Amino acid sequence: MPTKLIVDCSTGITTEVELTAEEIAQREVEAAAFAVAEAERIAAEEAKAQAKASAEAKLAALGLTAEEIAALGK
Amino acid sequence: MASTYILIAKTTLTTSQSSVTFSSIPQTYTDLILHQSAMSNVSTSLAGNYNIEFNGVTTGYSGRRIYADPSGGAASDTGTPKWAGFIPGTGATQNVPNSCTLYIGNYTSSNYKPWKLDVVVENQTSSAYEGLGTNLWSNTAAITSIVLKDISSGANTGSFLANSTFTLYGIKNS
Repeated sequence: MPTKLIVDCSTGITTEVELTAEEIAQREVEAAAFAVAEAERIAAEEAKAQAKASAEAKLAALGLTAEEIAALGK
Repeated sequence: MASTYILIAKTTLTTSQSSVTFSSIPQTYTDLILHQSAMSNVSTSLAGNYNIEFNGVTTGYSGRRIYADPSGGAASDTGTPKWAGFIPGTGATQNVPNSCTLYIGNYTSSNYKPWKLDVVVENQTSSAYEGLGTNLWSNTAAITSIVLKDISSGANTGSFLANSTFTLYGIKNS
């Protein structure tokens, strides 16, 4: 059974407590929520990178040099 | 170190723990500093994440972080409202803990509570994660307890490993 540690700052006493079934279930719920949020974050980053690459390709097709395109981002 | 920087409590784990709580925090300081030197058994190539909660309250948190990872470049996001830092997992070099410091200002006031953090997870010569976080707990209650918990990478959950150290300091403004 997983445990948690509680440090009482008023006494300095440290206590190890077993997690309840509810706490274990909550850990799994929160981990699943984190997984969803992390997947969304990664997808957003990938979409942003793809949009940037697409924009740079279009600018290059218009005749801008790589240096000129890079200067636009500064 | 300035005399206004005072140790409240410190613990070094002797066994793995799913969370670490500091309870009955004295209300006699202006700010708090919580330093962690921690490792986890979360299954990840390098770094997992963990969270913080105050007073056992699960709502009212918001935040933004900027970070860099081994793939290069920096990124930012707002999807980590309780973020307390990166932590090395099973894919990182073992026995090299993170270094993470949280600064919690005006923790006894009746205003909302901001906190900031800086963290690094180092993987010996090959790669590293670095992060800076700015967060807010929109709650007027004085902070009396702090819990570090919810270590995760993807849908995996982990625990803080033995030899992880957590140190809470009080800061006085005079």
